[in-house]
Order: sequence, then structure tokens, then C-alpha cells
Amino acid sequence: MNPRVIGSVVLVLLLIFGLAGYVGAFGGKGKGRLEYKVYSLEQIMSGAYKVYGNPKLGFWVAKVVLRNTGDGPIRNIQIRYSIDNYASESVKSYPVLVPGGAVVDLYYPILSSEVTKLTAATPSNLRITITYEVNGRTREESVTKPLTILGVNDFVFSSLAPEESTGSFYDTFSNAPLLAAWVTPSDPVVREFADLGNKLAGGAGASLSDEEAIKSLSGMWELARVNGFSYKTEAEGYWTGKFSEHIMFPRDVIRDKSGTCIDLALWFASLAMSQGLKAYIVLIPGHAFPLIELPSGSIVPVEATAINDGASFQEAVQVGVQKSWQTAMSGPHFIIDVASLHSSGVVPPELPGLPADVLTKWGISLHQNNGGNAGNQNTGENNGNTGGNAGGNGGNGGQGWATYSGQYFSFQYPADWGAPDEYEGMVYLVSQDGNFEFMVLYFQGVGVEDMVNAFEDSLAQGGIEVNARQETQSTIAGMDVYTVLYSLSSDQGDYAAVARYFTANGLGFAVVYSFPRNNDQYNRLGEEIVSTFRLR
Amino acid sequence: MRWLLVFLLLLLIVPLAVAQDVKIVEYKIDGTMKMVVDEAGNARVEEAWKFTPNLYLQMKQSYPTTYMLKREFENKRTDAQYEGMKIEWDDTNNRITSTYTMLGAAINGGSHWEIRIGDKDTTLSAQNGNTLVLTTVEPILGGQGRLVETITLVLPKGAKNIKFEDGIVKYELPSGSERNPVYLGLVALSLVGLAILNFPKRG
Repeated sequence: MNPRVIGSVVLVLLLIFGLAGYVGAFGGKGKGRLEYKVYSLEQIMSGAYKVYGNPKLGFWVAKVVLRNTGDGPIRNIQIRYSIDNYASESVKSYPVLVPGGAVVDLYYPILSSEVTKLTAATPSNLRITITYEVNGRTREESVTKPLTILGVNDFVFSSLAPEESTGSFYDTFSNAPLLAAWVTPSDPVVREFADLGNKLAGGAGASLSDEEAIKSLSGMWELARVNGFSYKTEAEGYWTGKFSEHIMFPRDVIRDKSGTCIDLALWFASLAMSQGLKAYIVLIPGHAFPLIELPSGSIVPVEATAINDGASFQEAVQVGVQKSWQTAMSGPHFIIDVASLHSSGVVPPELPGLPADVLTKWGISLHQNNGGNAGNQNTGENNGNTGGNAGGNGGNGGQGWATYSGQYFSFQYPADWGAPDEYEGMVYLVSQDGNFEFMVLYFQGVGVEDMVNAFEDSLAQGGIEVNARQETQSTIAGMDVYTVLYSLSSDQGDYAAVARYFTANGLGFAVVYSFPRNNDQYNRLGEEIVSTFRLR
Repeated sequence: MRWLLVFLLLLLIVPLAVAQDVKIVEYKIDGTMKMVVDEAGNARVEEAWKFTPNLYLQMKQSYPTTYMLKREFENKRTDAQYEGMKIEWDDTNNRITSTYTMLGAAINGGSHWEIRIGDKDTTLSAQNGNTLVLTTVEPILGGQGRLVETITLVLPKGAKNIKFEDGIVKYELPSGSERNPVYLGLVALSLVGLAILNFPKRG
């Protein structure tokens, strides 16, 4: 054979070999070697199942760390993940892993909404399969990790491994932001409860102004109060092996009319958000309470557990400011911005549909139930007794009487006087000579003490001096109520005032009349008007 | 005598006056990060976070030991994988400083490499050759604060076609580790040999 042909053939083979080697057909300079490590969650909280599928939130279920510790490349890497019964297979691909390189792959499963039907922890498996090409061969590695799908009300406060946790507050509550998934402002049950509360408040548009917001919140609070909502405690649970708690959705709180501090905080935050207000949940060691942001941006801390004592909304706010908030500010705390977390994807699960009249079935009504825990004095027998004095004024003074009839109460007054003036939260009547005033002040969600303090503060602010005050009891609308007799002085002269303070139907009342001191005729007239006062 | 009218106004003000006292403080941390990426996609990182004095004290109370702080960054729940982390409190400057290696900081996508720096809030401030300066804003402390960080990203020598969009830096890197020059030499040698053997000789 011609040596030139032989030489050419050899050189062509050499050329092909060189080209193939140059493009890496022989696996680079050396052999690749894959090392891998798999980290995975032990538990998934089904109540917050949507967060696990959102990479932006970082709540991955598995982390696979691949390292090429050889000196040749590893190609066509595929990582397959699935969760038995609850997440179908998904695949991630990496074309090449160079020597010395690493890949950190995170698994964010799109879980089936079936998980929300679980009421107790259910075992499952996380399956991971890694396939890759190395040194001209295809290899496969498989890993199966046990995974527990927790019941829809189970909340684990930290996903840190026990050996990594220091037991500090921040370690113990590292899952705290996920509580936002238990805030359900769009739940029809929550919205209906809020609407009833607004009705009790006489109609309120919470997002319109701070005043309207307070009115709305007070109405919802009072609805809970008159329906006997209470606070319950729950021992720390460790059934998941970590610090855990059974967290109720707000609809469950409404159904049971009770909840732990966290349950009540989530419930009240949901109500506020259903009315267009922003809400936060504050977690401190051993406690939780909501913050509500008013339309102006002002923040109202609410000690939701005060519902247990029958406190008014204002009292709950005062405790919230003076105790709960101060405690939070002086130690470790989390403030969970619910709206922000909702918008970033920490959202509630689908909840089962309920009948339209479910609140009625659960016994939620606008009127105080027997055995309700309205804790303010003298409110226990207001219903059913208000008619006791009806008709007792027919012959008063021999003059004709006109009737004022409003949304919450009615009373009679001399017919030849002008009709009472009506303001937001106040009805005001003055005699023809201007020397006698009668007024009914009412405000949603405040207690007797609030009304007394506000009234006496207003006297001081108005430059009216209280010369003497005498506390007593008297009746109005069939109730024995806290009453104060005032002796007053101002640049307009010396006056006496009689103020009756009480709460009824979720409202704080002050029924007050004033007259020139020692004018017995006006004093008797004031008592006669009071005797005609009826609650509706 | 309508002095009692004052009452209503004051009554309404009571719950709102309470609200004025409560403020949610948003914390801001200023950070700097220098990230030097090697040809295998791993990065050597130097990072510093500067706090307000008040927040620095709170941080020290929350993380009394550097172990706790280190574990906060390095625990198994983190998105990245760190090695060789050193972290220190810097009381003089109200700072935390740290150095570590981030494995798989850059991912080889076949035709190019990718580094995910942040999200759409990340902006490119400057670029000089293979060095990029980026600014990113990230929520921290459960949304109660934000970290504003300036990142100096140094890509491997030879990185080209560098692009930045939607928080991702993309670049191409001639894969010297795979293109063995010995093979290139063989190609050249065989081509020369073929030319010599087959080129018609004059005369």
C-alpha cells in the first residue's frame, strides 16, 4: 500500500481523535466524581401548604447539595422529586457540573390541596432520584426520606433541627411568619361576623376614618363579648417532636366562642382585615396579641384575651398599650405583618364551605346570651326589664310629653320644648330657658370607667370645676346603675349634675342632666325624664 | 350652657390618643459584600452588616454567642451552602463581619453561567470589566426590617458577554478546563502532516 495513503489515514484518525478530545468527548482531563448530601424537612404544615411551593419565600422541603470532587466534568444531571400521594414528580436539570463545582438545588413542591383535609399527622415519603453522566456512563442515585404531613391545625414553631436550636426565642419561633396563613379575612364566616359587628355598631365604614375604624372594631368586639367569647389556655405541645400548638382558624374561634391567645389574635386580626384595615400579630415569649393599623397609620394594640373578662374594646386597647405592647418592646418579639406576608404568598388554605346561616346555628346573635360574660357592672339584667317603667310618666307635671325614639333608646320630654339635637353618639336636649340640659351619650365598646373618666376629663378641659362628687346607685331602664352627683362651678354660675353610667347591648352610656344648683323643680324634671328612658 | 358638648369630642379621642403612642419601628441594616467567584462557580465572600446602635444591642441580646449568629447563617435551612464561615461582632463599629465560601454560587447552564443575586429590587450600579457593583434591598427580621446591601461581584478572569437582568448575572466563560490544549496540538499536527503528505510537490 502507498505509504502516503497510510500516513494520510493515520493523520486523519489523529485529527478526528484530536477534535473529539478537544470538544471533551473523552471526559476532559480526568474523571468526574459526584458527592451529594440531602437535607429535608421532617414535617409539612398543611395549614400553610402553599408556602412550600413558592421559591421566593424560602420554605423549601428538600435541599440537595451536589459536588464534583473529581477532575473531569459530570454531565446531564437531573434531580427528580416527588412526595407520595401529595406532590407529583418534578425535575430539575443541570447540563454540566465542572470539577470542583457545586450545585445547591432546592425543592419547592406544589402540594395537592388534599393536604388540607388532614386533621392529624400523616406519614408520607419524599423521594429523590439523581441521574447523571460521568466518565461515559449514566448513573443513578435514589434517596427516600420520611416526611410527616401535619394536620391542618397543627403548627410547629420552628423547623430548626433540635441539635441546631439554642432554645432562644428566635430559634423557637423561626416559623412565626407562617402564622399569617391562619389569618383569613376573606372567609365568608369571618366577613359575616364582622358585618354583624358593624351592624351592632350602628353601621361603620372602617377604612373611611380612624373614628369609623374604632367604631367598627368596637362593634365586632362587642359582638364577641355579648356572645360570651372567652380565652382558653393550652399547654405547650410537643407531639411533633418540637414546640407545637393546635392553632384554630378564626372560623373555629367563632364556632367555639373561645381560643388561646394566638387564636384570638388571629381571629381579631382577620376581622379587622376583612374591613380593609391592616393588621399585625405580635409574638412574645408565652403570649400573642394583634395590632390594628387605623386609616391614618396609627397603631392600636389590642389585648384580645381581655374578652375573657368582659372588658370593653377600649379597656382591651388600654391593656394592649400599657401591658402587652410594653412587654413586647422590652424583650424579644416578632411582629408579623399579615398583609405583607399575604401579598408575598403566605396565604390561607382553602377552607370547607359552610351553610349561609352558620352563625345562627352556632348561636351568634346581636343580643346578649344568657350566661354571657358581660363583665361591666349592672348590665346583667338589662334585657327584658326595660319596659318596667313604661307608661309611668303620663301625668308628669300635668304637661304634654313628646317622645324621642332613636336606634338604641327612647325617652320622653316636655312637648313644648324643642326636639332634641342628635349628634354622632349623643342626643342633647335643652329647656326653653336654657338652664336645664339633658343628654344621652353613648359609645360603642367602652366601659363604665371609660365613660366616667372621659366625662370628668371633659369637665376639666372645659374649665368647669368639680366642687364635690358623690357616688351612689340609682335606677334607669330597670337597672341599678353607677351614679355620680356633681356640684359644679364655672364662669356661668354654680350647677348640679346627675350622671348615670352603664353599659348595655355593647354600648357605654352616660345619661346626664344638669341644672342650676338648688333648683328642685329641674331636679325632679330630670328624674322624670330619666324614668322614661328605655333601651331598644 | 352647652359645655357638656365638649364631652363627646373627648370621648372619641380617647382610643385614638392611645394609638398615637405605638409605632412599629422598621429596622434598616446597611451591608457590604464582596463576592469573588472562581472558575468552578464557588464564591469567596467577605460581608459586613452595620446596625444602628440600638439594633446592634438588640442583636447582641438575641444572639449572645457568635455560635448562635453563625448558625443563623449557616443552619441546614439556609438556601445556600456555606463552608469555612467565620463571623465576628465588631463592637467598635456596631457591625457584624463575616467571611465564608458559598458553594455553587454560580450555576453552569451549558452555554453560560448564572448567579442569582436577588430579585427585581436589585440594581446594577456600575461595571468595570469583570467586576460589577450591585445594590439590593431585602426584607429581614420577618419583614420588620430591610437590608440594603452593596455587592461587589468579581467574576472569573476571562468572563465575557456579562449581562444583568431581573436579579441574575449571566456570563460566558471559555471552559479551559475542558478544552485540553494537547488535543488542539494533535489537531494542528495532523493538519500539517496531511498538508505535507498530500500537497503536490513542484517539479
